[in-house]
Amino acid sequence: MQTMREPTYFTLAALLDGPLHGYAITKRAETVSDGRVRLTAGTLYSALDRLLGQGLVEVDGEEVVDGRARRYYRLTSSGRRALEAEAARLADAAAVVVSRMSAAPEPAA
Amino acid sequence: MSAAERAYRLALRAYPADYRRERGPEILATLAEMQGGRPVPDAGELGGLVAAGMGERGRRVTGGDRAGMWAEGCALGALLLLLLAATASAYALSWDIWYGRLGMGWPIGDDAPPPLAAAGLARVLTATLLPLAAAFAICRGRRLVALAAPLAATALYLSGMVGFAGAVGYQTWTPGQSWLENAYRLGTATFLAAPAALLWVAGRSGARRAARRSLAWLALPAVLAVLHLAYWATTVTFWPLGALVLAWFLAGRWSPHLAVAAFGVAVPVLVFILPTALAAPEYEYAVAVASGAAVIALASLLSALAFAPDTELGRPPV
Repeated sequence: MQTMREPTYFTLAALLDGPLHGYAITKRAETVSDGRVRLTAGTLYSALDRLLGQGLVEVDGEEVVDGRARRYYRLTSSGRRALEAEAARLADAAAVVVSRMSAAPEPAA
Repeated sequence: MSAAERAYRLALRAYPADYRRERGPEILATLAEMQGGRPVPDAGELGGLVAAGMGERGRRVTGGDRAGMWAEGCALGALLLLLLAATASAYALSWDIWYGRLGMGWPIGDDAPPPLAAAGLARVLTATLLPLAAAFAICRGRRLVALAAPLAATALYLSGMVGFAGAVGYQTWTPGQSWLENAYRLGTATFLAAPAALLWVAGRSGARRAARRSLAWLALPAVLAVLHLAYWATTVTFWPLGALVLAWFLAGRWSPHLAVAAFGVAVPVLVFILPTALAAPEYEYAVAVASGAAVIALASLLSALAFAPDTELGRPPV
């Protein structure tokens, strides 16, 4: 499986705790990334379209709030697996460096 | 409706119409929540909508295959440049016929080849038909033929045997002169060679196959030539007119191609043609090129947005 893009990764990560609608996904993604990832609506819906197409996310339901339709999205089981695989890959990539940092000599200034 | 929502609705037009009908209300609802009553639209959101909308159009053309998108853009850019080259040459041919001046040298530009009736006709026909043949080959998906023709045209031009019209009007390479003296005529050489370079890139991009295109594209030179005659202008009005017709073509029937085509035209213009064209000594050339460049700069901005890759994981935060 190819590397997951950052907006995709954090969109999935935002849905780990349960179904959310578009705006809530952007807020959650911002929170879980310590404010680093700010999804624009364009990026968010491109990512959601792709994820819906791949079956990693599905529509959970709709409700109307203040006259506007909200659509909720939830992680599918294959979406959860893909997210876990990507997290493991990132952890492995980090471990390559972290485990050797203490042993490696400090570069001369 | 607030000013912010009006702006967002306008930016949503970057998406294909049916996508807008399907998803537009939901996207607008999300934007309204993000906006939280602030009157001024967020520039980042506007840019994001245009980029994602163009990206969606590009995906529809190439089925989401990014390599295919680049290949499609390159091939389409090559096709358009070849059609523009054929038009400029055909336009000069029409002047020759109008004035009965075939064989008396080129009616426009000051690089006149020696007067030889049959050879003169052969030259103009070569300059017109060679790019047209390459354009036909692209439409039929024959990449190798399409690549060979512009290379042959460039070789003929640099040998001084055939004059070609490029972005800056008719030019004939003068073999007796040094490269430095010929420097401002390099614009046409790069104009002729650019389609070959683009097709080479398209072939290397790992795209599945060269796409076949409607032969209706070959009608574009006729439309351009009629516009030229209507304006009774010289070839220096070529770029603005070309951009106008192109915009009409793309905005209408081929609107899904807009993102890829803008990219395909912007790359050769910015990389190959503009620098050499601006080095041309004639004032009116510079004016024509500048006005054309304004349109092309806009096209390249849109395409840059459409082709900007998403942030990859692992890139250090700036």
